[in-house]
Amino acid sequence: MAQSSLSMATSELQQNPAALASLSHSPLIVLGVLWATLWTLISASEISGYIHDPSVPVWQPVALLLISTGTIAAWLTVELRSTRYFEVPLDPPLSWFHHQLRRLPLLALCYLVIVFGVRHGLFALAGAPYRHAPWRILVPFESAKASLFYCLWLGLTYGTLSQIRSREQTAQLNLVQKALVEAQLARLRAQLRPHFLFNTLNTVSSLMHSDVGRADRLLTQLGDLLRASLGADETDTVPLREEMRLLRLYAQIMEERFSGRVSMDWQIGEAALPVRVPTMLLQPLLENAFKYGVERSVGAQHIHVGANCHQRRLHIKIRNTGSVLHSQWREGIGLANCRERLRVLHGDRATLTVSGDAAGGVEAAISLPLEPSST
Amino acid sequence: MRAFIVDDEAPARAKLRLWLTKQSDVEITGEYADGLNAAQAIIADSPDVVFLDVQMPGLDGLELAAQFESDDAPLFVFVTAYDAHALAAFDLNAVDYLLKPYDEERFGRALDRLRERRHSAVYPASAVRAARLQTGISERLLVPAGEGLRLIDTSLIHLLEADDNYVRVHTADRQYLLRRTLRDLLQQLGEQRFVRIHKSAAVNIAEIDALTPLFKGDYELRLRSGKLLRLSRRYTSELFALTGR
Repeated sequence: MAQSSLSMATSELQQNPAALASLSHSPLIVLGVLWATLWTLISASEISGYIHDPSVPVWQPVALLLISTGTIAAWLTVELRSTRYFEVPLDPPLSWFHHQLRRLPLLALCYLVIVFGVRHGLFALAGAPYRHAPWRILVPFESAKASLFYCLWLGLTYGTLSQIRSREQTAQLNLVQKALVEAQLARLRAQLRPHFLFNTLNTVSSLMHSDVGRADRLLTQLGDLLRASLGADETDTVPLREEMRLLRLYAQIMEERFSGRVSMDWQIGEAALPVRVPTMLLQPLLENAFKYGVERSVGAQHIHVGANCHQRRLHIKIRNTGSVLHSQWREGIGLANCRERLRVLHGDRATLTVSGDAAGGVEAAISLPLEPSST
Repeated sequence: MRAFIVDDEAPARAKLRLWLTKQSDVEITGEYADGLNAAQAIIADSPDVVFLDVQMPGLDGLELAAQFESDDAPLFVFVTAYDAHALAAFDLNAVDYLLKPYDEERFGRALDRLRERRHSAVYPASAVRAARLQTGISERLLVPAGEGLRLIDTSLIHLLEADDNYVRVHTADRQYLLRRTLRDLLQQLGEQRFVRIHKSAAVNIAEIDALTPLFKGDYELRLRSGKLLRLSRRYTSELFALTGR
């Protein structure tokens, strides 16, 4: 009977989404084995008490036990069938026990009615007298016995469920941690931009044979840029002057790699230089200008970088020739990240728009309110 | 050895040039900065070896290599900065590649291997196949157009017909003559999309309009354009399997 309630428990586990997450059914098997052992011992001792009494036929103690244990098995099966065990929070423990114990009086009453009803019925059918202690003693005694077993069962169940739940939580925690580490790695990889890095190193390696001074300069620029991007905190802001210095480092490296294929002009208004902007905000935009405008074009292209203050707002523009904004165009991670950083700092007051022009070019434009500190 | 340098970044070309000019048995006969011009020159000049950058505008290095008849391609050596994960799938013994930046010793090893393989027929074919494996079936086909070459969308192709040493490529309004074998071209364009209808012709599956049984198990096949073709009984099962008839 313990086995039957165990199989109910496992099937319940498969139907219940919360319990489903548990990786193993072994705690429930342990519970089942404990329960079965307990009942075997009790049954054996009960039957051995009668077995030497020749006045009582053997079937009688066996039937009495089968009826009570069968009723208990049915009871527990119904318990496990209900989703209560899996839905009621295990913490705090007292409230869980309270929740389960609320039904105890009703359950004990049902137990008494069923067990003694069936026993009396069976003995009457067999024509044998069924003698037991008077009701006024029997009812409290049997109720206490049933309650005791129920409490024992609850204790075992509680332990088992706690173990399942804790395994689930550990597994979930591991998943979350793994995802976090992967996200961090992806971010680091994106920051390092391996394509950019290795191609630049190759350019340095080439220049070393023809122009050591230029190779040295390029290496220094790459170093500056890497230092700035590794040290940059997403939440930091810097004056536009510093942001432009980093942007020029990147541009100089790219101009060296794509020499003859790109020309650049910079128009940065004096008033714009002290305005604070998020660190490394503009590099993804310039990267896009190179990636879609220059790297994918055969001929020479032009990139314009402009910044000025107008009507108490800072306007920044990065425009490239050589690329067309397709109608199915979707914003990439770089742009989405810029937009998010602007939103965090300025809410709806900052805008980032990307638009194509008829002449075969793409412009990314940022507009943000001037901070009080910089006005 | 007559060598081509194909890379869209000038410093990268300069580095290859520097080391190649030191080799007495190598002559640089061309330098190109994009895939399409390089392809045209390779067809015109048939160099022995092509150092081919993977990332290039227009037509990238792997796409370019995939366009060559596998038994009639130069020795391609792929050069790349960060497609290591893609190229790592290449068996270095079968196909050579250089990862940027590379030093003279690594470059020297690649050259030594090239000298050994110069007269091997196996190497060019494995390089082309490796490139095709990486790019998947070609979505664009390099075809001769006037003096030069152009890329056409493979979905525009209706019919491929073998014609001696050539394949005649039919689109709705034009025909192109390619010096290729039908077998190799089908491998490049995908045998799931272009299926043989008899020994010397294949059709674009999407262009099939109707099939009418003839005697002896042959079929008459009508293309959407209205063109009527014969489907040989030897190729019916293959076509029916792909079209689900």
